Amino acid sequence: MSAFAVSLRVILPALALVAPLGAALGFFLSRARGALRAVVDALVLVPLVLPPSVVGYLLLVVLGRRGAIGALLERAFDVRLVFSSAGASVAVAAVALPLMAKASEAAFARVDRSLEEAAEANGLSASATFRLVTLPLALPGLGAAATLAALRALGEFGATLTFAGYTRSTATAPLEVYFAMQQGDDGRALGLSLALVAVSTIAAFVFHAWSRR
Amino acid sequence: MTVRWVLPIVLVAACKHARPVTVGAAISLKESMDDLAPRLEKTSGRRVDFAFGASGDLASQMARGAPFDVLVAAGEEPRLAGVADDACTLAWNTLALVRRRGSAADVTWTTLARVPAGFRLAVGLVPQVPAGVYAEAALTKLGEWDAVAPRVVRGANVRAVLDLVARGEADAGIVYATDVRIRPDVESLGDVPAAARPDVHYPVYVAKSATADGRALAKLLCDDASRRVLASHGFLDRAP
Repeated sequence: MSAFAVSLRVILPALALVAPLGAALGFFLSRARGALRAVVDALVLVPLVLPPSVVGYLLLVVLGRRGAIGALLERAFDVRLVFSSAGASVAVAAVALPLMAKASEAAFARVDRSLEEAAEANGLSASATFRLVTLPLALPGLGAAATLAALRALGEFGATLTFAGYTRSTATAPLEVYFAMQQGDDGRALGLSLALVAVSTIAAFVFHAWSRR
Repeated sequence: MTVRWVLPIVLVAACKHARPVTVGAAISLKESMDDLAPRLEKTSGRRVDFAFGASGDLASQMARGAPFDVLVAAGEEPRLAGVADDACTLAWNTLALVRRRGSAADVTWTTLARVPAGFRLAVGLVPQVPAGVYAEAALTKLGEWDAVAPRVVRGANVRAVLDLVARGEADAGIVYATDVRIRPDVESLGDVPAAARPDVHYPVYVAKSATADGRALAKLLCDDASRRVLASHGFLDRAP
């Protein structure tokens, strides 16, 4: 399977998890106040600034076959994350989630509160206000957030290699660049690198388009 | 006032201080080289900077111009033809099949072909990890490779293979006999059978572009005192 096909197989499930969860976290961060918000904010920020090797190593300690949760996963569901594309998805999700959450927080913070208040004053329930007012207004910002998270996921290298290892189902484009280079296969390394530059550039334009709406 | 005089002197001294000798070494030699380093630096009077990794990775870096003076690889590196000369063979080694200490993995070199479907055998990534190349050759000779190949997971160097076994991510793995000594949480299931034993040896390559210091260091690496240090880490002083 080509490196980009592997990348897609790794990224898509990760984004399916990261986009809603990150948006929910972002909404909470944009509206909550006080100690709980500060704690959640710190927990979200830390993985964003940690070296990916640390994220990958900690995932290995917890979710590896001998980790507390990893052992449980294997016993209960026969799931082994290391050397599987699901494992790579977990690594990618861990690194992309903070970005999704912080960018979503900004998207929700930009929503004009007076419009929400007007909707509620006109008798709309809180959930209807969120569905009919807040969410549509935040949507372009959430699109930008998701694009950013997808880009970060596509570019993930360190956590994936440290946690999920290098094997057929985890050989994403960034990992292939590294191992092709190490083998002296410059043709492949350069080809994949240029493809990554192209995809990232296109995604940057998409991000820009979302951000301006 | 003094600064104006001292600074140039310090700068000139720093520049004149000879550049360190750079030695690439197979990661299986890590502890031996750490042990050797003080004597190498004392005798040569030069700082020695080591870079450890998979021999194939180091060789391809060197072939593409990485400024190694010396490379001690875990096998012949054809990519270094025209780039470096073979100064000596420093030591020999053999392969061991290993598992996590106390694990239930019940395999031997000649039963690997019959392991169950969920079994994972950790082997070095080929072609850049010599331990992986040797392991594949040995298993092929034993007639096990075709059956066990689908169970293989790869480590990016031989110590990564060892770590996969130690963490239980792989049920067994193939590393060098000397690697087993550095991880008390890993135990050997036996050395490779003599009939399939690959010629694991460590050539010392000197870059054609090496400085005189680099060449002198290669000589030191090849001497008897160095060989005794390697022997103390379990390496063999002749082909087994």
